[in-house]
Amino acid sequence: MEKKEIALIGNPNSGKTTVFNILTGSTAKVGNWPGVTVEKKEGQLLNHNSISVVDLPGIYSLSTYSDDEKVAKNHLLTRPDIVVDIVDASNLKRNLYLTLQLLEMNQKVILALNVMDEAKKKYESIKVDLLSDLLKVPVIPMVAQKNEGIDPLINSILTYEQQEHSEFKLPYGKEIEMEIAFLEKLFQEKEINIPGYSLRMLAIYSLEGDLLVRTIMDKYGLLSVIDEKIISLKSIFKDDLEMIFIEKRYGYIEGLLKTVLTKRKTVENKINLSDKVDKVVLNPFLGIVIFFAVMFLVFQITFFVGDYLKGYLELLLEQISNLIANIVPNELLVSFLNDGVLGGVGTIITFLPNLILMFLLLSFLEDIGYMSRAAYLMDRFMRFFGLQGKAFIPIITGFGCTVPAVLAARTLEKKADRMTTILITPLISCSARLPIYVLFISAFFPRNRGLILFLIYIMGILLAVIMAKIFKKFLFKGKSAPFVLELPPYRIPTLKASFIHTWDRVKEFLSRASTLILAMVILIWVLSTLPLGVEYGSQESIIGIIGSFIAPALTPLGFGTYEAATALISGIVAKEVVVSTLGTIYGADGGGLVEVLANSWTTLQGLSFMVMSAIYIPCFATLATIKQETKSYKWMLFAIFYTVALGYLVSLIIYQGGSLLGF
Amino acid sequence: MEKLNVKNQDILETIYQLEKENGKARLTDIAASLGFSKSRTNQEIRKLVDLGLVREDKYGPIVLTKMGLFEAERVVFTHLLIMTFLQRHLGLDNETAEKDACSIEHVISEETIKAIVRHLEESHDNIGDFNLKEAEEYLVKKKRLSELKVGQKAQILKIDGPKGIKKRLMEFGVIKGEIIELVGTAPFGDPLNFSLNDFHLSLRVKDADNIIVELQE
Repeated sequence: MEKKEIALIGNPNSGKTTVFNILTGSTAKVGNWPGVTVEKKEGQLLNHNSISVVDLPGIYSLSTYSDDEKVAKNHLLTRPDIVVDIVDASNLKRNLYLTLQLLEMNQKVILALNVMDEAKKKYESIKVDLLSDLLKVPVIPMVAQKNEGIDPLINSILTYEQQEHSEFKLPYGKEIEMEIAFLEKLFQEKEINIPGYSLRMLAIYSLEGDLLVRTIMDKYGLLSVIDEKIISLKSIFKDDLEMIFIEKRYGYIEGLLKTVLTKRKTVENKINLSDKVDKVVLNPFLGIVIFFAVMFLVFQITFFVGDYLKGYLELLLEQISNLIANIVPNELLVSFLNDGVLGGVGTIITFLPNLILMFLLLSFLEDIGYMSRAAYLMDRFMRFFGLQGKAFIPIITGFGCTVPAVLAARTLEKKADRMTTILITPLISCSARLPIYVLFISAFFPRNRGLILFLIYIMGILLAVIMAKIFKKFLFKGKSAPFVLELPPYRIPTLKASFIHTWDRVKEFLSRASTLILAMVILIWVLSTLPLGVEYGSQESIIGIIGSFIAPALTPLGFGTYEAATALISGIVAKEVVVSTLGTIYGADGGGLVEVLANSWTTLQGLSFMVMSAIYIPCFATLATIKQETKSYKWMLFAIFYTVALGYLVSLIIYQGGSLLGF
Repeated sequence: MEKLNVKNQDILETIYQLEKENGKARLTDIAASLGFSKSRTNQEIRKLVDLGLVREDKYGPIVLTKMGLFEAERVVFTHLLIMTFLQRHLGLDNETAEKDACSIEHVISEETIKAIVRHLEESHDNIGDFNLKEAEEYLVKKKRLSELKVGQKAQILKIDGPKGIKKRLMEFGVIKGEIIELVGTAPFGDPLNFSLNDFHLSLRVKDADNIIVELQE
């Protein structure tokens, strides 16, 4: 059987993912699509290996504003064999807008009318056959969640080729149709043939001012003719032409629905369970309380339950490490296996419980419909960061661990928001930094422990706010799309979907970020071990030499010593390593280390160092995750550079300012 | 959006009058009719441009945007309404009525406007060239979407604002003629939660400012 490709498309919350999961089973693999941060997933149709199914991002229109829309549109221009448009039948009007755009692109559409059960509560009847006749496409009613209508859909996919495909033409009225006809004729004369576009499509897109089509038309020297037409039509309608097209499409949908739907039922009380829940959940006061309760639960489960599981994993790793020490004869090999490989693998593995739990909880919140409500509730607040409401979740997760926080930024649709959030979450103090704070606060601020600890957390938040503003202003300016957010009806998600979703993401983390983490941990091991024969991480090792080399650069910050510099370098593996490195170097731990530090450093030096270690390079795992999520080493290097520069600056101000004031 | 101050409203009103009388409003004319210097007038107009109420084409006249026209008409109608009331019902002379209307128009509440309309209606009166129905529509029923109270329903009349946002909104189904209801507001009164057709839509106040609606009973 020949190869075929099916693209799934639809509005967010139309049940597209559910349909995808059913159609492909769990064969889906997250595709590696370079250059874009938006996912499209690919899998095979169950029992039909020659048919691949591509899940495009959920979008409302094809106007190429957001990354999602661009990805979807570009994929559609490659002309998939069939496009299955998943439509929420209980919200037909808005969902059909995208359908019309697909039909106008001349795609081979199958319309899947999902959520028919809810639609039937709203309307007396939906004339499916009539809709199919009017749009000239197969229409399959279904309830994906209950597995209803899947077989007819698969049938329709398999038999589609046999049906005749007729071009859909939405009538735009005399004035516009005249110009469309004129342009079509003009394009034909000029022999313009662009793969993926029909002539009518080109004419409509030209009049709508589609940017891609405009650049094409520019090459043919047709822009001035087109602009002339646009201006003359604009003067007839007294509005921007793009808006007229939108109104005409909605006008068409209105007419369509009048014939297809028979009267709205008046019994509204049952439908509006969702609204009733929202009365409480979105109440300005209660809503906030509930939101923080939910966030608290997510945080607790992710980190406390996660850390509990992590304890077992660490125990297991320790056993293996002991075993290696006993079996392997060569001391250097033992060190390589234990400190290098196992250290690296251990770092990755110990993140897993946190990650899995967080992904599970977040995808559950997303699927149930709470995520957009959280965005709505927190939007005003998050504007201090120049971000929108959803960015709250990555930031609060950042207090636990930066790795899941960076990954949680995925729930942000706009690239500018996502990038800004990814870059600022490392500034939020994660739990791995706590041991450093505890050590230095015990050594230098024994009387103000709570206050100093609080202030250092606040410092992180403030810096995040400031940097977010700066990044938004200079790096990602003007890229924010307007805040138009749908609050979808609550739906009970299938557990299976949440698990599939979670597994996809964990798999991705393991396959992409983990190799980088492992490589970096081994690199640090090599630097700490060589040249052969020196004590691990001592002043004579390469890392110690590097430490001594950069120490003078840290003198203006008050801690220009080999000890401090080496601790900072090794802390890039994981922040808590700063403490153990200091312990190794000073030959003390616990209370002993506190005493050594208190005696050999001044309070100001200690404060300056603590601030630096709070801000500078997050950790290998975070760096690897940033690389994975931004799909570029450039942003990873940028994160390294800017956090070091920022840490240096803040420490400099603290140390020099403090010295001037005589502390 | 923030409430327009007296100066904002006066300038809008002036541009409106000039557009009506001369077909266009030039900076010089606006300055002359308000008795301001040109540079000060220019400064004030910048503010209106920032609020999206006025458009200034290079070296061209100053033009009201849809929102600007809406705000100007509100002031003009209020002015006419108060004038009529002061002249015909309190018997004040033209000059005093004009002067007082100029001040009152900026501070009068919706309740008082409604009361005056009702009072004039009872005595079968009209305001100037406009009839009362029209006045009521302008002053009581026509609102910015952001001015709806929770539970109020309204029909969408016009959408203005930056092209990108306008297009986004329209593709979501926020188009002329649709009925939209304010369901609730987030903490601090922003963003707003609307119900439209078969779904719920959240918009920031800033974006809802750009939509003019007519209240439904």
